[in-house]
Formats: sequence, C-alpha cells, structure tokens
Amino acid sequence: MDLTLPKEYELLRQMIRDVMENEFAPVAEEADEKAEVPMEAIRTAAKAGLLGIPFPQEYGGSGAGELGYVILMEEVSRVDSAIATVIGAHIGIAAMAIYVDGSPALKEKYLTPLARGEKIGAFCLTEPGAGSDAAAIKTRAVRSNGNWVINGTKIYISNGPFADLFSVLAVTNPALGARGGVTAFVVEKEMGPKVGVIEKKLGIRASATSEIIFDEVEVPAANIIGQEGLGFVTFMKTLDLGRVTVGAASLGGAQKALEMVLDYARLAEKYGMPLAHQQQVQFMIADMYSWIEMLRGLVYRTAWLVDNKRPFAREAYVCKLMGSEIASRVVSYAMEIHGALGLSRDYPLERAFRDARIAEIFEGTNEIQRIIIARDLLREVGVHIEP
Amino acid sequence: MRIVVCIKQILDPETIKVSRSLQAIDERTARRIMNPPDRWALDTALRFKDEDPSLEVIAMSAGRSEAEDILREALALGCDRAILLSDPYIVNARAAGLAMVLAAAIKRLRNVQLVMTGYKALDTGSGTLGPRLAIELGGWPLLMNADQVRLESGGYVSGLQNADEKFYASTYPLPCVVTVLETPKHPRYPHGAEIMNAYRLRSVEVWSTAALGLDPATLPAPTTSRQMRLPPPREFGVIIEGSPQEAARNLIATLKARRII
Repeated sequence: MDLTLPKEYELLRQMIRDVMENEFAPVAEEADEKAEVPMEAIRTAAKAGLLGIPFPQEYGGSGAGELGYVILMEEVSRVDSAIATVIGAHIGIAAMAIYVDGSPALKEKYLTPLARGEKIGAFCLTEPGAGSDAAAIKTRAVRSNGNWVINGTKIYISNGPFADLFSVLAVTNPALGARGGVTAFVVEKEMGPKVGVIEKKLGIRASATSEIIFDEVEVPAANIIGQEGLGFVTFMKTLDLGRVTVGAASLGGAQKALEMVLDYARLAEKYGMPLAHQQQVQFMIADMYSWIEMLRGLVYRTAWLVDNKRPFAREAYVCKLMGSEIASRVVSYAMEIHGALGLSRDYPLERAFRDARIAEIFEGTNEIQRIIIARDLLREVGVHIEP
Repeated sequence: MRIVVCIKQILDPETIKVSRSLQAIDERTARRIMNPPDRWALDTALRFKDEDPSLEVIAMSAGRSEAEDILREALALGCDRAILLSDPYIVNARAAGLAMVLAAAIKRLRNVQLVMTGYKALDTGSGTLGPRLAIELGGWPLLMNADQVRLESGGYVSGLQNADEKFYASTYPLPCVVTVLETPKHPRYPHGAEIMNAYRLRSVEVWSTAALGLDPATLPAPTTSRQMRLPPPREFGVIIEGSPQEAARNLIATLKARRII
C-alpha cells in the first residue's frame, strides 16, 4: 500500500499554491470587503489550467483526475474559501455534469471551453421549495419545434451573475417526476437566461450567487446532457463527486486556521508566557491537528476510490459531512485561541469564520447527508426507508 | 538556434532547519526547489521562444539524480529538452569542475548561441557560474547581473547590466553568456496539463562525464566535506541602562574594560 503522492501531483500542488499565494492572497481581503469576484486572478488561474484540472486533456483539462481536483480545492481554500466556491461550482458541478453524462459532441462543444477557462459555468438545480428536496423542482421544459423551451426560476446559483454556460435541471414529464421525468440541459448565456436578485452573503463574499430566471428560453435538443428524463440521475452523480471536494476545500480551510494558530500561539503572551506553553491551548492544537489528519486521510482515500472507479458515494457523503463540521470546529477553536483579535476585520481569521459556515449547508445540508448515510447503512441490514 | 539555461536545485531557504543532533542542515524536512534566479533565466529564455517559436530552449542541470524534478518542472514550463549531468564526480564537484562539465555538454549540443543562468544560487551565493562558463566556452562575452534582457536582430543580446549599484545598458554579440537578475513580478506558472505530461510522457536525458569524453582525473578535484560544526552559541549582550548621559558613560566604561577602545 503506497500512499506517496506521485511527483507530478507534488509539482501540481506547488504550482496551485504559488498561484493562490501570488495572485489571490493579496486581493482576498478587498474582494471579500467589496463582495467582488477577483476576475483578473481567475483569468491567471485559468491560464495555468486551474479551471479544468480533473478533466481529460482531450477536452482541454489537465488530466489530473479526482486526485488533482482534491489537491486543487485544498490549496485554493487554504488561501480563500470563496474562490473554492467559484471553482467548485464551475468544475465540480457545472462542467462535471457535462463530463459525467454528456455525449462526446456535447463535451467537445461545452466541456472544452469550460475546462480551458474560456467560459465559466454555473449549476442550476435549487429552486424556492426545492433545495434539499431536489426532486420537487418546478422549472419546466417543453418541446417546441424540435427544441425545448425552459421556464422557471433557480435560486442560490453560484457563479450565476457572470456565468457563460449553465447546467440546468428541468421537468420534462411531470407525470414521471424525478423518476424519468426530469432532464438536464446545457444552456448558453446567449440563449436568454437572466440574472435575477444577487445575494448579499455573510461569507464566501468573493464568490457571486444569484437567481437565474428562465423565461421562454429556447434550447436545442442536442443540448440535453445524457438522456431525456434521466437528468436527476446525472445531477445526483455529479453532486456525489462534488461532495468529495467540499471535504477537500474544508480540509484546506481548516489547515490554514491551524497554521494561523501555531503562528499566533508561538508569539502571543498571556500570564507572562507564550500561549503555546498553556496546556488548554496545547489540547486544542492537538485536537485540531487530529481532526485535520483524519479528514485528510478520508478525502484522499475517497479521491483514490473515484480515480480507481470503485464505489465512493457513501464516502463522499462522509467527506462533505465531516469536512464541513471539522472545518467549522477548527476555525471556531482558532477564534477561541485568538481571543478578541479573532473578531477583528483586520485579521483574516474573521473571514475564515464567516466562510466556513456555508460548507455545512450547500451541496446538500449536513442533515441530508446524515439521513442518506444512515439509510444506506440500514439498507444493508434489510431496512428500506423511502424518502 | 539553441538556448541553454543552466538551472540548479537548491534547498528552499524557507524550509531549511539546522539539526543540532546531525550538526548539519536536516535535508529530510527541507524542500528542494529550482534556484529562483535560475527560474527567472528560464522565464526570460521562454519569453524569447514565445516571440520566436523556432528557438530551441534546453534546460540543463548538473548534480544529484533528485535534480531531475526541476528539469521536469522546466519541461512543464515549456522547454524543448532537459538534460541532467550526473555521475559520482559531478555530484561531489565544486564550481570550477561543474563549469567545465557544463561547458563540455553545451559544446556537445552544437549551435548553442546563448547560455543563460541566474545571477547567483541562493544556497552558495557565489554567483561565479556565469563568468566561469564564459571562460570555459572559450571566452564568450558575458552579460552579467542583467535585467530586461532582449534578443536583438542581427545576432545580439542586450540588457540592463547591474554593476556598482548602477544599471548600464549593454549589448553583446552572440554567442554570449547571460546571468539574469530576479524581478518582483512572479515568473510564469506551468500549466497543469504540462505538469502531468512532464512526468508521464516526457523524459530527461542523463549525461555523464564519460559520455562527454571527459576524464574526472583531469578535472578539478571534487571537494569532500569531512566535518561540519555549528558555530558556538552567541553570548547574551549587555543592556546598558540609565539616562542618556549615564548610559553613554557606562558604554564607554564597558568598551574600555573590554579593551575595545
């Protein structure tokens, strides 16, 4: 059992770290303050291939698979979790849906510019009344002259305000619902989706989130991802992959918080000695490190399962669940150790604290993750619980 | 036309820890990186290739087998070829011997018009490779400690040469050796796909002194290190207290007592 990271991945990690520290770290505070996506840095990242790391080179990616993607999300989030949301929404769900089930022609046309970073993607699933209950979506696609016409409103769409391409889930046969009556489409910005309300957020402010409104948006039949009626399956498969990298992003955020604590505990003095000498601080540091290392093992093992085409869905749920909760706990401990300084807007820990919370909510709330993990385990002993 | 860029693998100064038990740098925890000024030399050569794709840029390093990693990084950045000069002599050789081996390899490549390297290695800090190469290549001109290096038409290279805290605009005919200064802007990043390909598809050529037709017995003797010691711990300084007048008097008294003045 060889757990050494292959050398190409070590260099990939170093390159991503360089891009993040040189291009994103200097603008992170301002981007958060102004709630603006740092587009110039995103363009530099795209040039280095960061917007297509996992995808095959034939479709404009780097060919680094899930392992490369996990490294990307860990390193991106170590500097700025908001950028992990931008890149995660682009690669992990918008482009991934096309990669998972799209035809070769659809991949050539849409995955390639997404992987090259020439176009930015958004994933349109959530609706008012259909978040955790994704099967309850109301957005409707109706056949018309060989095309499909989409009507409906999607909410909380990451990258919505500036995306060029949208992976969209719509009902095509209400009688069948999620079991055969929901279809996934690729929609170009030029086809007419409109940006609605732009969300003002507590955290991940350097990412942009909005409503996307489909009002008589006509889409060619060739833009169906996979098969008509099977879009729910495509989107759920995509989200399974996305969950692994929510865990990876949480790992990066937690790692950064620990690094900040180690630095602070070494220098700050209380009761005439450095904080590092105080036992309760040592206990917290030990716990933070232990949780992070447990998470690291889980995330990288799950990436290995994905790349080796083994079943991984249950592990992916655990990555998302544990990752988000460990990150929140670690950042919370970091705040505790920093005292009042942790709350200062002049210190990056406060941003990390605000940014960490979303990971427990998006890509399926943690309550949903727990229900699915438990039901999956219970199914193995003959207990079948339907939603 | 070929450009050779000489790059060195060093221990990242930010990760170096000195081990008291080993009485040396603990190489287990230090990261190995491409010497940053060499990365700038490579960036400059690749910029020339961006402007004229017919140029062939070859990265070359002399040292241990681990240096293969910086050569693969050079391939990922866009070099056409990567050559590692390595054998037991080279691993232990010092600057004079390495310059002779590098020069022999450059001569073997033929049609090399430009040799570039960083202005110094951040580990030894000597900055002698450029001048030594210029001599070993048979007296090539040397554009040293240069910024804003450009290939000029008609077979010339120009740059702002730093000397005596001033910059001099200098132009030299090719073939030429150029040592490049670092600039504040970050050099280009390798593309993710090229990183993967550098390890999965491309190869690093390995040449030995014997393959270059050199006999180590006739080259400068390699240096071996017999023992390394940490300097003795520094004594804690003396804090002189009191008003400025008193402190000045005490300072003079202390310096006199120690026979410094």
